[in-house]
Amino acid sequence: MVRFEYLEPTSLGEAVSLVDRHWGQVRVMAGGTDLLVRLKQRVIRPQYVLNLKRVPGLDGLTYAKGQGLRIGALTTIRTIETSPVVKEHYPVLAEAAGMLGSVQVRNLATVGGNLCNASPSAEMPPGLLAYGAQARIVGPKGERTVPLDQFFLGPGQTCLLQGDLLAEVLVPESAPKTAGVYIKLSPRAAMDCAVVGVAAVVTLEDGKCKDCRIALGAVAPTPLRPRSAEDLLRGKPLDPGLRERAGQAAMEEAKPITDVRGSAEYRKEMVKVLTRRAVQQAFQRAMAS
Amino acid sequence: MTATSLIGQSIVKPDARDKALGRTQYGVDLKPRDALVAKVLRSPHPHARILRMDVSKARQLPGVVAVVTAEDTPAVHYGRWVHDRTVFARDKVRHVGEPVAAVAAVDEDTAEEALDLISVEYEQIPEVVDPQSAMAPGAPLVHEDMASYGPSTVRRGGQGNILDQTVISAGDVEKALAQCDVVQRQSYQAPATHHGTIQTHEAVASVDATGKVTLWSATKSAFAVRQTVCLALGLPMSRLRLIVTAMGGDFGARGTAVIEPIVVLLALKTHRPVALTLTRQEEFTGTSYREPAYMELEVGAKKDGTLLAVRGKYTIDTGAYHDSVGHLRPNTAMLVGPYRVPNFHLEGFVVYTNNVPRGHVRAPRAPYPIFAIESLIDAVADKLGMDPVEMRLKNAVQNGDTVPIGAVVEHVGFTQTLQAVSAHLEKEGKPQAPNQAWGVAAGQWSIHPIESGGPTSAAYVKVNEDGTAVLVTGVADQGAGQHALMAQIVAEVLSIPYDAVSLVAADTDLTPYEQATGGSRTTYRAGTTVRLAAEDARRQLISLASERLKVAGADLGMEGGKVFSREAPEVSVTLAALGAASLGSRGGPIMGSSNAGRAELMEAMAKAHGTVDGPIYCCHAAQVEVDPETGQVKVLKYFVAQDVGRALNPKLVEAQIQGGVVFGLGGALTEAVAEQQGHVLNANLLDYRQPVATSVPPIEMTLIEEPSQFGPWGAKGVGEPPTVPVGAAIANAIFRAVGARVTTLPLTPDRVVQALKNRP
Repeated sequence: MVRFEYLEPTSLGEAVSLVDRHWGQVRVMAGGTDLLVRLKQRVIRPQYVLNLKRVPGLDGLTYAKGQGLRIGALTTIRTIETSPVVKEHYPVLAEAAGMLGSVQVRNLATVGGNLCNASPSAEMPPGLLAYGAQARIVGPKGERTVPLDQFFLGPGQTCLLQGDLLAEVLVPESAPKTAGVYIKLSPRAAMDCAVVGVAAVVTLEDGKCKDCRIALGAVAPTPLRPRSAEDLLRGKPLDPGLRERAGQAAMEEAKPITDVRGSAEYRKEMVKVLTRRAVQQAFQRAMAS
Repeated sequence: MTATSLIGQSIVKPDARDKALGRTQYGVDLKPRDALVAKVLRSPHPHARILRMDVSKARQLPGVVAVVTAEDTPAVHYGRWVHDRTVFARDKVRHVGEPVAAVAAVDEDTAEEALDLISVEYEQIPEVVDPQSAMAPGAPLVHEDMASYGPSTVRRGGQGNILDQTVISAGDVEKALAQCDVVQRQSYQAPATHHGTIQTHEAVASVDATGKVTLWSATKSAFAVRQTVCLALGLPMSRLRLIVTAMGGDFGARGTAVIEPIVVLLALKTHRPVALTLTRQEEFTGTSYREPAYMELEVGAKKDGTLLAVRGKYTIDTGAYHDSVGHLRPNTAMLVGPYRVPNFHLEGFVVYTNNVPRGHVRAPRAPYPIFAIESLIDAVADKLGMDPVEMRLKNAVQNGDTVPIGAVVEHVGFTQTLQAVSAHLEKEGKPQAPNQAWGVAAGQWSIHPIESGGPTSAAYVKVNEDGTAVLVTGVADQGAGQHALMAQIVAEVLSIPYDAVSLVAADTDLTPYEQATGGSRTTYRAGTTVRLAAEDARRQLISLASERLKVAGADLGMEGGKVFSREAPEVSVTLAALGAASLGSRGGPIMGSSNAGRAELMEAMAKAHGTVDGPIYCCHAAQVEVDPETGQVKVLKYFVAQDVGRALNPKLVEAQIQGGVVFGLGGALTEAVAEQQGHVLNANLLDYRQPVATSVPPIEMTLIEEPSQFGPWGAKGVGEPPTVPVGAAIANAIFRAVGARVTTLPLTPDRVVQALKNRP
């Protein structure tokens, strides 16, 4: 491993000022499941590694009826996967969490790390985007809240500015008759990255789609909301033709690349198939809810 | 055999418990506290001249004890089959990952920092990364001086980058194809695949005051590795002792010297113990693994399914150095599969490229030609409207047939395996769900004629003063239970309990020579020599008992730890008493040697010269479900019928077959080393996707026992064949399920989707 100075702040204020001071030379560690691998492989050579573990108040889930869910940045993926509150109110997040790596990885990996890594194929963003989540960011000039769909700028790039840290993720309360699904396509049934990930959350009213959000993973430089597909669905009852058109619309918005995990052509086509399937399943679940 | 025979008993291998509990000591666990840590500087380029190298800064770094380069080694070439390698690159590098220098330092961080301080000036030269371009006239040469490499047994190419080439033919293919009712032609491709052992390569070397080196390595070929290290470093064998440590997976990774010459060199330079453990990334660029291959095949048959002709071409990309199989002919002959084919013309080529070197991976060179022929036979059967098992039965190789390499196969159990699959499929019935189907494919292994020499294997059996025994063998246990099985053989011959046999194994100074634990040869070959050694010990015991009991040896029996008179069983003596009495006896302490019965064995082998004694045939059936939209393939059920000659320990046999199928599933569905201009793009176990527990279907099997002549109690090899037909079985099942033929391995979802679009 490369040599670096290890920083272990004990308050959020201290963490922010250290990140501010060493901006550009510091890597922030939440769970470390990605960071440590890259340090060991010498892919990154930061001068400082700042571990957030001792910063109080960044860990844990709180749910309040009517206000929604707050997920601290250091909350582990395993906590999200197994939380009864998440399973009941935001099952798509629990579903997606359960598909990330292995149990051992999920015990260490955090939602903050998963978001701030800004990997296009990350497991958590599609579900969070589909629930309309926001990011609470704390920085040298105070704090701000950013809709999650403005959080990602590119692979490895977020809207965090000098000294900023992601403190928590806020997921709003879902309206009645809301349900969703996360579908992950990967060559291996477990322990794999998504070749395409699709989350869909649908709210029904009188059998019609009152609102819906779709989010795609691994098919663009950032997790993506195919808004044209969402617009097609809004205000309509679901029929096979509409499902197909929504899939087609999502496919047209996807901008995948070819890499070792899959070809651009295949990914594009799968966006169509999986969006159609996700919308269908979300509708069915919402009907049954 | 006696009533209490151990043959055919599923004795639990003694190391199973420790492994399950994580108590087994592997190489790193044995590292001395004061060991230096070694790291290797590797080439970042696929092909480049080394213009200048400066290690002085690295040498000056505090904590660095030694830095070595090609200048520190004798100017010799070595290699597994052809001597094309040096320890470090000399004038040029031929692949990404080729060792250029190595350091030994007080800790890992210092060693890594030292690597950063070595400056190498490269001049990149054009690389050649696929065998077709490499074979073209005027292609950049990977080895300019190939003609000087010894030994010449493998080097039969000579033209440009072609290392080896062969043609095997019989009959008149042109004429035969013209007479066929159906002719099918297809090209197939398969990628480089990796062993992916849990334990990466690691070795420790230490030098004592007299200059003698002890090397601890998790190799399965202790003697071959010792020979290579001694050749590469100019050491007499008496100065190097290699002790094999527990292996965390082999699958072909541990049959040749990989890091051992570097570790020994650094230990000699520093006079300190030196340890080297490869990173997972280095496993993908610093070791050698399964060759990508290109197969072109044409098969012709009569209306009734009789195969008339096969024309084929098998082109192998051996990478920058040839660590792979030395015999091209039998591999090329695999293109006709386990069938009677009167007319064939087969060409094989092994070609150097600037890819990472290719070497052995479980069932080296067998799965790909079998993928091709078994896919195409299936297509012919489909064209003829014939049941695929029926088609194979009609053409199955039989006892006494001459196979394409010119040998006569004996003890053939192929038809029985096909019948077992037929019966199983009948019992299972056709899947009723949509997009589900069974596919079948056959496989073969050990289609080599009996060697002119004897088995390159030997053993001793000592009988202790209490009647227990020690087996001294060169066999390394790669985790499949080889040691358990060898002990079982000794216990059987001496009629003592299994746990009364202990082992000293795989130590080049202490144990006799052993070729390697590989190629499904250990039970078949080493098992036979262990049996000879145990029988010699038994003869010595009988002879001593005869003196003491005053009963002719021929009238004595041995059972339950006693030698007794067959006429009057109460006249007996225990092995313990014999062991104790032997110490001061005329014959001396009981020490059975496999050399004692060897002449007789070799005489029998000479009579069988040119025949194939222990050919292994198998047939697999896979039931899959295909998602026709995403192309995802789920293997629902799996069935294997394999001829094992005789299952000496059925549980170990079953475990080997299950493991082989799982290994094959990886190659069939997800595993491929992604290479681009000589660079490996997925040098990690996230993107190099091996099967996980959820990928594995229930695996059922039927063992066929068609005994061999020279294996112990008729046993044949087991471990390699179950990997061979998996790709074809699944490809054929995909075709039967959704009508799509995928001709490139692995059978990934995007290839299935593509094949669905190309459906006629």
